[in-house]
Amino acid sequence: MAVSQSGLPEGFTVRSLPGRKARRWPDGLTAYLFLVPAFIVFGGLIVYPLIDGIATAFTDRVIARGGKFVGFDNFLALFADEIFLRAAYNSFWLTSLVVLIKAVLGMTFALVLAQPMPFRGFFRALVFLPWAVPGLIAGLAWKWIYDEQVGVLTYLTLALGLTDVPIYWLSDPKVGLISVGIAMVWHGLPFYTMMFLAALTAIPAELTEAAAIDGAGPIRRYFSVTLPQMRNVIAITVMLSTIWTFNSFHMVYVLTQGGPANRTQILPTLAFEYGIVRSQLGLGAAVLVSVIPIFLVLIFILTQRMLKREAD
Amino acid sequence: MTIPSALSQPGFRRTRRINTALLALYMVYALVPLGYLVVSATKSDKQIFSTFGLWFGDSNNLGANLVSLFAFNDGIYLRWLANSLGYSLAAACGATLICACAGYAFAKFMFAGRSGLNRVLLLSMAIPQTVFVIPIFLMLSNVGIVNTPLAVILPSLAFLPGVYMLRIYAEEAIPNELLDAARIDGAGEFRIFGTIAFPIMVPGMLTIFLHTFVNTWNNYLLPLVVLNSSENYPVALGLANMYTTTLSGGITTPLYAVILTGCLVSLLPIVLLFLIMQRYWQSGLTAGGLK
Repeated sequence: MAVSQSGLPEGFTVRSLPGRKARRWPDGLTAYLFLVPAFIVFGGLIVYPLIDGIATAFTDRVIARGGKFVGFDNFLALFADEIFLRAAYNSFWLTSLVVLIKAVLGMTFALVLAQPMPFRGFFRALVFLPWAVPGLIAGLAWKWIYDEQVGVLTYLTLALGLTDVPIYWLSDPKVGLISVGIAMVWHGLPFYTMMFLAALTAIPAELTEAAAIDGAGPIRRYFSVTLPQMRNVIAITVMLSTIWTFNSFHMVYVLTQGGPANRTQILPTLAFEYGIVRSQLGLGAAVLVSVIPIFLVLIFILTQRMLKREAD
Repeated sequence: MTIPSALSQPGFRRTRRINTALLALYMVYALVPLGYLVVSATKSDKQIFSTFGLWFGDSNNLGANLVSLFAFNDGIYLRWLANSLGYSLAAACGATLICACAGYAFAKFMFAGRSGLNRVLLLSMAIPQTVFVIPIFLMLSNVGIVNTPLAVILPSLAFLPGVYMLRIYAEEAIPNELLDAARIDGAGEFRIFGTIAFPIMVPGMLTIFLHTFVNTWNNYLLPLVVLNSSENYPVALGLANMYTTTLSGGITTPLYAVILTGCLVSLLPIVLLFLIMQRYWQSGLTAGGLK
């Protein structure tokens, strides 16, 4: 940066102007006043619910009844619960594969859309559309596409002779989760394309041109110039998207409701099932509290990267 | 990655053909579900079950579907749309202002606990939102506002990435010299914020506004948990409810075509907003990452 933290040109630091420092940061109190609304929201909607959620996970609380402390009982019950283990397994694989596929496809299409072509702006707008569709409506549309009697996909696979018997996209235990994943990739892909495209267009053309002059081929240029330049954007996109994908309650809820026989159950839908539908708040809270440690690791990586900006 | 020299390379023609093919595939994948909604909105229930999903039937029922949609349960669909609009506007305005104040404070003031708070803020961003739903439901029911508009609006105010994004925006867009000049002229801190910083931050704030608006419009789990009477439903929840009632045979005449029309209509405001403001959509998202 040509401008230092204080906003003054390099070499013209705050220290060289005696008496300026006190002026620069008028007083801490003003800053806190600006932060009051955020503190209220943060305390009321993040800190308190989080603590309450963790505390609830250690009780046998039921709606309309306080519940008493039961130690790790809920967690022990969950780790012996086949449905919970399946949901955890499903959540893990669904989140990792959907994120990986979105990242690879998002990069591919960002590279395609970065090329000069006629009507590029129009195409860009169109491919971003799914991101604007509410998750629930996306789910309903996919539900009809997957429908076993009248679904477009069922019709096409039969008409094109790809299969002899209809594929039960949502009710076949082996296929259900894949169908959910396809719909989730559809909904989340534009975010990746958007972010990667923005990052690609921000790379100075001189960098790739210089590499081209040095004789680097397109693949070499991509891996040694383009990709390293996009490192930060890729990290932030993948981290945010991992959290969103894990949270993606609506897609499973609308498409399969976790069925058949809990084969497509994921942790958020299971927490809803236990906590709200069956009113076992303690158990429901424990389902999600049990993944907090995993997310803490992710969070750590994320914040390291975001905080590194400040050190630079 | 526009490399002029690449145009003259022999592989260029082939690359372009691959690009076109990839783009075509992506268009099909991206647009088929939306096309399905558009086509279905023009069909009757009978046609939905008897004709190919991606092509129009022999008669156009869009008008009839729209009439049934807006007449359903004494026009409750319009109420749902109005609810969604109200919740989303209130949440987006509130969240944007909160993020703007906090982002500005982080960007332009030095205060005790600044870096610690910043870290806590970033840490909390990554906790899955679904973790909060049950505790928030309990909290709202303790306060006694379950099943009111506030039950949807208040929890939607927390959009922590917005604080981070606006902080980066304020750091880069507002010159310190400008603030100092105003201070030397004797302007108070709040006046400086209102008359100098605020106008400069507007483009960044629009990004946050759009995000919170769309997040609230699209949120399904929160309203599902905290609302229980259908006149308070946002449009997505209303349609989902209509759908499950139809599935379970609770409505005598099936309403599939009407529901799909309802989905299409509820998409229009968001898609419109998205297309008009596409520029702002990206700017704030990438501001933090491109450095």
